Amino acid sequence: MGVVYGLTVVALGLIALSLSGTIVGSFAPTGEVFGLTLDNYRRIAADARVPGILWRTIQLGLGTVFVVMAVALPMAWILGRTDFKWKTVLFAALAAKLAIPGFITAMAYVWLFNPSSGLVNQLLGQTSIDGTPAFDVYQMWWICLLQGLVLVPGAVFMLLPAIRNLDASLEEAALTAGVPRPQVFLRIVVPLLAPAVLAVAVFYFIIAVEMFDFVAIIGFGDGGEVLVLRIYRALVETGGLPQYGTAGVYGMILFVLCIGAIVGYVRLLRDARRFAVVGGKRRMMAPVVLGRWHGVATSYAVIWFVLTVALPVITLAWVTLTPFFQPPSQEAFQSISLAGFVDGFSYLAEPALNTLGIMIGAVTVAISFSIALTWVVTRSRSPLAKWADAAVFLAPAVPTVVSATAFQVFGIAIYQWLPLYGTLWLMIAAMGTRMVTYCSRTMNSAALQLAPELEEAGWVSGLSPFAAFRHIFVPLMMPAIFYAALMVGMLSARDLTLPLIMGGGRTPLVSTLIFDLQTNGEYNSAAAIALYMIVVLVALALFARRLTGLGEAGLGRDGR
Amino acid sequence: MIAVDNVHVTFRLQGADITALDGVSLSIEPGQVFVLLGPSGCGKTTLLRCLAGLETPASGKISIDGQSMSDAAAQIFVPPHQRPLAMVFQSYAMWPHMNVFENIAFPLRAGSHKIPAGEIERRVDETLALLEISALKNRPVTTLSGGQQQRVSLARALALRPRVLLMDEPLSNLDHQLQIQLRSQLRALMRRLKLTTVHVTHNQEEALELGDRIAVLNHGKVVQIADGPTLFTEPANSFVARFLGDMNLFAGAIVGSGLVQATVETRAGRLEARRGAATDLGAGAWCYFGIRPNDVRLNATEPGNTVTAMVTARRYLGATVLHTLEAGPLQFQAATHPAQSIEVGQRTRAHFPIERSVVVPAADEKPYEDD
Repeated sequence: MGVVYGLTVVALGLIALSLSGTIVGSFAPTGEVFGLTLDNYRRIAADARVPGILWRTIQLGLGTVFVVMAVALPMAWILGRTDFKWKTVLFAALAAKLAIPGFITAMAYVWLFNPSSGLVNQLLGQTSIDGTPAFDVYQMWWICLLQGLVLVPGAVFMLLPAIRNLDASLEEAALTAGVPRPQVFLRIVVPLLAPAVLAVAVFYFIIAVEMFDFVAIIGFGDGGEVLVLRIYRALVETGGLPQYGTAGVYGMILFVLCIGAIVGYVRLLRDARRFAVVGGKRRMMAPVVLGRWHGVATSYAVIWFVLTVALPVITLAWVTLTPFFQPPSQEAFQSISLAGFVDGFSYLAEPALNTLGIMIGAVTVAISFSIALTWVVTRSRSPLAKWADAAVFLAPAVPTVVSATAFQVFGIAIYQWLPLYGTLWLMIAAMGTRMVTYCSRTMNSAALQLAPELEEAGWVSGLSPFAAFRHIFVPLMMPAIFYAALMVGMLSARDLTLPLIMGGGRTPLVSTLIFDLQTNGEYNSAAAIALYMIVVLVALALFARRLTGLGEAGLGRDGR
Repeated sequence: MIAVDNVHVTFRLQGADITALDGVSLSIEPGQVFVLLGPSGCGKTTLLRCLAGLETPASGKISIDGQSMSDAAAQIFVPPHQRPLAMVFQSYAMWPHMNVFENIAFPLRAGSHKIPAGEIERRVDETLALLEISALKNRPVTTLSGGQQQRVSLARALALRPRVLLMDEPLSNLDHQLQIQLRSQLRALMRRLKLTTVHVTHNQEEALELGDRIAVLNHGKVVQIADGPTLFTEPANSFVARFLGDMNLFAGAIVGSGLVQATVETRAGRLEARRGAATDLGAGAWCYFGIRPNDVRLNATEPGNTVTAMVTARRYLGATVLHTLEAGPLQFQAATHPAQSIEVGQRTRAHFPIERSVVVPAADEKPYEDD
């Protein structure tokens, strides 16, 4: 089993690196990578902007969580407990949404609602150029709303098992004991679901404060910042060398914020499990008949779909089809052409190849590390198991910006021996490591469902542990591995944060290409490429869903 | 021969140390069917898994045919795949991604019991024929019934031609009828193969039917090792007496004793019994007077070893009627043929034949007063 333990050790090393790089950076003197100084901490402690940045970050987290939960809870309830007719369609829509990159949604909304030239503002004849704009997307509440809406599918998939598995007999026991329905809901259902629901909320708080897509593309009209934006600016928009020291300290602040949340998350999950084991055999409650509320549920789902999928996609299509940025009008319709798709395509060659490289690389790295980690955590009695388990749980608290920074620092540190800095390889290592934690959780739960006797039966039949691993454990894990591979491929293709920080323009990816084109005002091509990307990723997601029952089977719970 | 010497196993569960095996020693002769019997949590499966190499003893030694398998002090531990054994699991542990043939052939191809590729098919066919399941050869294992899976898992183990066969409650997941049927088939097969077998069960009938020797375990300790009849008629202590067939036990003390018989002073008077396993209990020692419900004679005319009792409850069980009787402070049970049954509320003379009565040492330091 040397290979498996070896992979585990390397994976743990890289996970540790994704945090420690930032810690090392935070003690570095200005303009250097190594060194030991508290200057960075002193400077930032004295910086008057810091409390404002922190407050905004927390606002962003709480605001987003509010939107996610407000939309996802009713949707999960509709899917889990009612006779809603369009469940299959809604599941497919949720899976498809999972595949659409957040930054593309953000881009479409900037085009629609930016104060100076937003298409909607132009259409209404109320832009900031004429006076007061009708809409101004550069606001905190807009970012919370959009981030929140985009994160709904993942949250629904996480909430669904808890809502579905709620033992019907517990409710029925109260009903037959003469407790009225509203009381049953308040005193039985709510307390039983509370830990699971809160756990999801805390999890999404972490995602919300580390999510870069919306903050990067939309930003704040008043020039305010949140932690991720500050870190990005310290590294990329310095006008000079990256300030690893500053980024490191802000990274530490963000990490502390997230680690606090993750500890709460782990506790809540434990509570949720404690409730989950109470009943012996559980029974599903008969689905609630929606009756005349069916129309309300349908419009609810349709509104969500229009806001997060239809509207952005239509906007992208419109921007691609029209030669310059303009609201719909008779002239605009007359000028429609497919030229945008052709232009967009001409940019794609190198970035598409790089993105494919990242996808294949990240899948390979993440899957081989995760399967090793999973085996060690669920099957071995090695002392490594404890560390691996802790790493898998805590690693999500390391925000993408933080781990990207760490890998950059690492790349510079080893540059004289191994010039990986700025190459696709370092990005693959970082992306793969980032995805390990995501994969391991999916695989751990699959491995826990597999009876350990299956391998033991191999050992006592004379198979070496590695033969049993290769011929019994891995083949039986194949559905989970395959599913995780598709998800990693999808998530790494659409990620913007990591390539923005690590690529430095030298290794363009499809995501950074779209970002650059949009920044340079080449909306037409940016929109076309975004559409190409959406088509490919949605096809991938629907394929994954077809094969593995994404969402419905309780898989894909961590999808963002 | 399998030798287990002073084996200890502890588990750490939620911060607490749990002793699963507490100094177990036993030896198993070649060709013997050795049954480990005990209630759930007694450590029988842990002991089996120690033999298999799936658990590591904290201390003690295990050897098979003189070869050390694990010796904590000498830091010897032979991993499971290098031990000369095969195992049948309670859940059968069929590999769901392989069919019946593959399940049996795979270890012969890839494991340490490897045989030349040309012989694999013949070996599998032979084994399937031995267990009369040749028709299942190409079936996916996921389509098999419980009984079929049980036979396939036994075939997988036997095809390896192991020196020792370990079976962990192999019949417990089957319905009662099938259990009884498979039990006798298993017994015949074991006689034929003369394979050293260690069989774990919590079912006393299964143990009595299959075992050449039976070790009764409780709380991680061996309580008694004997053949079935000895275990049943001369239990080593009150735990064994109760666990096997629910013996009536009257607390008391030895007042007069000979080599073969002893007199026990109970709360229903003095009763004579064979000494059984209680060979070293002297006068004054706490013990139980024991007799099985179907050895009690009601409406008895024999003199001596009798009590007058009243029937307080009856349970009709088909072939027999089980009576609950009270004689003063004592409560006991007696089984009769339905034709000889006695109505509730009637008084009767109950006789305890001396050759059927036995002195049972107390499992605890002092017998419970309410017995």
